[in-house]
Amino acid sequence: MILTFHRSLYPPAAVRSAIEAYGELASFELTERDHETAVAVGDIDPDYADFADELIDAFNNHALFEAIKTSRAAS
Amino acid sequence: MTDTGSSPEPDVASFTYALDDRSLGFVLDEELYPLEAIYGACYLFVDRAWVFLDRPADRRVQVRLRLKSDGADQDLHALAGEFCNEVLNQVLRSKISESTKTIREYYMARAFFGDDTRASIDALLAELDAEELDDDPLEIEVPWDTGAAT
Repeated sequence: MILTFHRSLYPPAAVRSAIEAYGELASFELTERDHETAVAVGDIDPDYADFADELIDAFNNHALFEAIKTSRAAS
Repeated sequence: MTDTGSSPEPDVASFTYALDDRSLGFVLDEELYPLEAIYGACYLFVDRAWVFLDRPADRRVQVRLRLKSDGADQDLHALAGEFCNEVLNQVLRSKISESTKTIREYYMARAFFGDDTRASIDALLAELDAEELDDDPLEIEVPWDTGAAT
């Protein structure tokens, strides 16, 4: 599964922070493109295989939370 | 807001959104709803819903809300309504904050760096000293005035 985060909404550092937080539950491979950051998700921990959707949603929420933190710190 | 779902009157600007079983999405125009306001609403909703943002076009932000637990569609609609109300609230807060920024900065600067802070305290102390010298307006006799204590 490939997740894409628009750079104007999710700074790459925010996505990296989410990868750091969820790195033990799956493999995340980050690729930076012109306008977006792509994350390939695989090898989800078998204990969480039944909750893959929730894992991805939680990952997205974490990245968004970090993006908001970064934005507020900058302003 | 842009209609992303099936609406009987797609040309009418209204609060409509695409809906599937547990999630919905709608597009906000950054000209009307600045990103900071959208972020502010997201910040308040990340504990209640799965939130994902995307940019389908320049100056447009697509918000996708997904229920964290199984719920009826009504809950999803209510959640979307609350979210959009919160975005408006954040826009208003931002505008008020911006319009009062100068006066707030002035008061903070005056409180911390004003030269007349010391003078104000001195004036208050002097006023208290002056009051102590005044006669008692209630004219209650006290022993040290009458010499009864001797």
